[in-house]
Amino acid sequence: MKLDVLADLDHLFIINFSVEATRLQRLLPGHLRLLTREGRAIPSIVLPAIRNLRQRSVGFPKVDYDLFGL
Amino acid sequence: MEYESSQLGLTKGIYFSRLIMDPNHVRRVANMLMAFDFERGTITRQTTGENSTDVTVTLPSGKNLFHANVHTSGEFPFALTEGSCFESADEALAMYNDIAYGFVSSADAQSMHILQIAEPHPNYEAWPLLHLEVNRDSIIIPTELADAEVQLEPSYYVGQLPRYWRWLKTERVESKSPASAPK
Repeated sequence: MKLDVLADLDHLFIINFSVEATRLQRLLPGHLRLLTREGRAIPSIVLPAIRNLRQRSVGFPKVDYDLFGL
Repeated sequence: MEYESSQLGLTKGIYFSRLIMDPNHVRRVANMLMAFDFERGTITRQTTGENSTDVTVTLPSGKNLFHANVHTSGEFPFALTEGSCFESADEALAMYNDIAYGFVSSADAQSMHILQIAEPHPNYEAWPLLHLEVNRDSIIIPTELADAEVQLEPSYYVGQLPRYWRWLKTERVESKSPASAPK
């Protein structure tokens, strides 16, 4: 099912690092290409705090939650 | 990352190798209805001072997967973190400003789900990425990177804004072998 979602971000933290590209490559499916700088890749920790998540078409109830993404 | 999308062409975005959500009904519903597979975990944000926050992600086992003490500031620094792979703070900001898509691979890696930040399209003049100061000594990094030499790079935050996220059509991942290349 495809859902278009409207989310009010309370805030979003993006914490960025760089590591040797070869070290990160094994976390990826082969059809994705790492963007690198000087042999280093740039992973991010993404932490959105979401208030009032709503699904646009079917009236999904509003919910609040925090997420962590690597 | 870059991904050669059949819908979008060569597209830059974030690949999510791991996603965690608090163990509530939202996680179960999201796992049923979306391409995401959210693991159980607890995400806490605790104010520790003026504009200062402790962020912690804890697994059900009790292990801290991630921790950082961060400080939000309206001022954008002109200096980079020591050892950064960028040449200037503006160059780093430009790279992160340009991201409007997220990628989630299917479990068998044969399909790619694409999440578009549709509205507002990243408009960092109206809603700029602001500098996020990260206390280097406070960081606990995820296991996946634990044995790597990790360099802290410029980090950012955005404040309150609405986001309209759209799932694009799931794509079958094309084989790169000549015999099955698209014509």
